[in-house]
Amino acid sequence: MLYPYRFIIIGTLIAIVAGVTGYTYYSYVNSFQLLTVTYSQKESPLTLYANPEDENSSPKEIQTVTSGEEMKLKKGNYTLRAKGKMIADYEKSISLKDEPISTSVAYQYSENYLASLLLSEQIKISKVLLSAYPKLPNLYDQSRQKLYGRGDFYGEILTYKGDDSDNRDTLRVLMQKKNGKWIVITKPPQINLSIEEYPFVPKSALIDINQLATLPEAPNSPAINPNTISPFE
Amino acid sequence: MIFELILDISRQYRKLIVVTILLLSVIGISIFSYLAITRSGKMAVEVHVAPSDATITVRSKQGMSEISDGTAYLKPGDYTVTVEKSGYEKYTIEQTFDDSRNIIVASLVPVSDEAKKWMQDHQDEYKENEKYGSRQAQQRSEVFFANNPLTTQLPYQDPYYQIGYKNGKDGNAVITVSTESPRYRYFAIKKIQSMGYDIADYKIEFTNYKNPLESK
Repeated sequence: MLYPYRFIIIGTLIAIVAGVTGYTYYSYVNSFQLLTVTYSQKESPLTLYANPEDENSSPKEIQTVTSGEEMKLKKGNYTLRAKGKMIADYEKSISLKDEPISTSVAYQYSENYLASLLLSEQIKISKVLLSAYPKLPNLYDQSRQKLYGRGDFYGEILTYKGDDSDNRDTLRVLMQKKNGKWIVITKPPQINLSIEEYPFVPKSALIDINQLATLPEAPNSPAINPNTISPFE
Repeated sequence: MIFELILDISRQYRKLIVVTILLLSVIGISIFSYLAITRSGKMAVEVHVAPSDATITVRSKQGMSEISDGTAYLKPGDYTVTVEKSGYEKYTIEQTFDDSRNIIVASLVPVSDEAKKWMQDHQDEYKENEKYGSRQAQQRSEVFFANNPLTTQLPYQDPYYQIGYKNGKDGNAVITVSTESPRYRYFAIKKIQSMGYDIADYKIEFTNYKNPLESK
């Protein structure tokens, strides 16, 4: 019955098979994406893990990343991790979707390494800070001096010791090393530092500097420390 | 009876029916494949502009394209949307498109006499756009609260201090702490932390604070 239409039927079937094959091939090719990571391999090798869909399973190690190498990976969620003596533990999530991703990783130094760097930087930092705020030593006690990131950010806490009890708030100083020179970036030092105002500063540094510190006492107001409970709590 | 009639017609137009079915299958598969490929990774964005024949241009890092009133398919991301038509004020807006923001609404302001007359004669088109404008505003406010979750719990009123907020730059909230006492500024920050928020995520303005290190 269908014999007279055999060419149309065969042609149509070929077109359907070609269409389905083409679409399947396109979907397969489209399921991959490119990822390029540049970083300092000397400081510590970076390892790439594939995140499992099941949240209870642990990520599966895929490969050690070669800096600058283009990796062709299945679209999905990945994690980059690194550990080392000089650097702080590093972890970054990457979601590979429709666009290729090219990212650069700058490790942050470990606390111990930063503390050793501070020894050689502290005099230069203090000189710059005091020249920006000559009254500072008379008004504030300086504490919790620390370097952050790759030793290019510095923070400290200023605890008030002047006479203006209504404005005796504890302040935070943030400085940055640019082209080998330290500059004060909190002008003036602030009660609270936010990522919106300082987007170029590692958030971990802002969180650390923002930690509550002791507020000194005033004639009619006792000192409060982070454990003091508000009278209306 | 009806069954026999259908069978009879089928026999008569057998060739035509077979060819039509096969042709429709090929067209259907072709359309499906074309749409699946061209819309891959894109999202549907509703576009409502008045007048509806205005030229709509969307510009992103990937490049520029022209879309029209109705539904456009765009990759999620940041865009500069421009709507223009001769005789009307040009409308430009920076817009982000994602799962929760997927609507473009623009009602062009007429400048020329001809455009003003057109607007008067087509009030319904402008009124229809207002409806979509309120949906867009709702989407924006949902995004604001999603990006600034602390604001959903504000204003907070304590006998000695108040925590509020105002709109800041780029859809970010600025948190305001009002009290004259450093003691209660301290407790206000502690309160924000006890609500489960990181104070580094918010710019905080202390309305009654005078910084001793501020240059006069």
